[in-house]
Amino acid sequence: MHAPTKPGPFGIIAEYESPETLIAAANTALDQGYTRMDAFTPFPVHGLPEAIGFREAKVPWIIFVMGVMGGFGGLALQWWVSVHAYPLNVGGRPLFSWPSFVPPAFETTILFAAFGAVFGMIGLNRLPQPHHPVFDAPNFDRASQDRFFLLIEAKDPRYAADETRSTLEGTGAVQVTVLGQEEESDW
Amino acid sequence: MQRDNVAFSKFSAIGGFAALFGLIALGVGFATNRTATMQAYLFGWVFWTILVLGCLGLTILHHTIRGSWGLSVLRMLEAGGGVVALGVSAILMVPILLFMPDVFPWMAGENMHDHIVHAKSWYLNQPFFIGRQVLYFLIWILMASVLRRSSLKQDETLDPALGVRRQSVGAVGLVVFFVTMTFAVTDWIMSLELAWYSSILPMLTAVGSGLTALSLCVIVLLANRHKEPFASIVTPQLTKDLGNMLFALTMLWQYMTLSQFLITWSGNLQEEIPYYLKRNDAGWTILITSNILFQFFVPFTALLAPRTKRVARNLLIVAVLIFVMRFGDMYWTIMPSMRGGRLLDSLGHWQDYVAWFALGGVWLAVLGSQIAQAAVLPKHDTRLLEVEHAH
Repeated sequence: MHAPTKPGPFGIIAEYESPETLIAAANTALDQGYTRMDAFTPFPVHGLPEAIGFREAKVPWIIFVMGVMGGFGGLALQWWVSVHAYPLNVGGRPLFSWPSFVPPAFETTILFAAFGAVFGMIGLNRLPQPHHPVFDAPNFDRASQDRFFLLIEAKDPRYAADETRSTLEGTGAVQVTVLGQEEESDW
Repeated sequence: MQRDNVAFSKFSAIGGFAALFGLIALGVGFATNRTATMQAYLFGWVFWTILVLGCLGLTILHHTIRGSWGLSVLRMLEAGGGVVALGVSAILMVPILLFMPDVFPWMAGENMHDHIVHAKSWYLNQPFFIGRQVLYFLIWILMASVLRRSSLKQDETLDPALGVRRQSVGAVGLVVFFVTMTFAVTDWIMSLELAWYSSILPMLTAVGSGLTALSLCVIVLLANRHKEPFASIVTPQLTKDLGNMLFALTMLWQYMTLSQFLITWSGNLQEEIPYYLKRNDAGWTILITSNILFQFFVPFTALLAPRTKRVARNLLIVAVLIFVMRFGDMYWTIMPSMRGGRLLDSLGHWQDYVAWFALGGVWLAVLGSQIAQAAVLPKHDTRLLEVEHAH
């Protein structure tokens, strides 16, 4: 008979003034064993995915599987149309004339692979999302202007509210904020 | 740690050896079976000259786009497709020009009264043919010499204006390269068939030449990746770039190969389809099937995966596969035109292999001697070394 618990904190976010301090901070956190990190920057920062330990490569596999499906699907569609649904004799060629089916099958491969890339990316990012806890971070709109943010999620097995906070404070952050807590509890 | 240097001087020794013994053996073959030996010689000559032209084409491409990956193989390309390599190719063509009736059907006596041969004779006749070859080689040698001299001069002066000038020369050079390739491939390969024609064959061969040249350069580069100077530049980033370039050429090659087949197949014309009927029969089917599998599907799938391109040893294996399959593709393209009959009968000619090794030996010797004329990594553009120091 527990009272419904309030959702715990989402994580801790730190704000930096330059990509170099962000990368250095991410490396520090990585060295300390943090694994659930994310970063927000106004432009792609070279070396950042490695610094936050980003290893996931699911999208290429989705693209590959979708491409293969598109290729065979395109071929199957042409086989069904030309052999079953609407057989035509074209200059005495066999109904299943695979050489002429290759270019459309190629096109459906590209089409499905592109769908896989776009929708796979959107799906894995769980978009669209009207609200996200990082939006509560002060100054977060400057992530698309001139500030660099590093987030350590509370899901991280290494996460410990006070220790994580002091770690991030020691990396040259302009300010460090705990996300997803009611304001009066923390401030 | 002190690393060994790449022993390019050994290339000359090994190549010279292969060339010497190979050419002596070819002399014996010539005395006993002149036609088969000349056919083998033409095949070997076309294979290695296409490689030389691939080196030249990639040199021009590098100077035009200035990708940093090209710097790793630029000096090999310049040596393998340079003035001396082209000059040697031109000299090695003389035996073909002396015995043209043995290889070119439009020169053979029994075809002289064929109406197609007659109609084409204003273009396909010996004096005009020889004149064209002289013109091609003069143009290629001129382009190779201008680019090489400028690239070497910039190594000394480090004047960036020279690089900008090569960029302009390269842009024009690419157009000239493809136009001359079109005529040359028409002469060397397409004219081996009396009636067949394909306007994409020269482009297909030009892409194939880039594939041959790049795969061989990648083999030399990666086989020597523990030796200097290559040890300081071979990074996952470089192998990724080289792998992507091989990937692009592989796809382009397959695209054009399929286009040529598809157009011939759809047209279904009497003059055109015998080209494929001959090549899809009597064992030749095995060759083209293994080509589609091992020059397209296997390298394509392998090069899709980042781990193939990131790990030098994996990319080396793919490059070896592509280079070996280039032999199969050229053999399938050229040989059935000269020799009808079964694949196994054709492969039974020992001269084919000896000519290939002998002429390959000549090229290797030229590469070894020419690469010693300059720094193995260009000094005028040190982007590759900067990447290395940054890590």
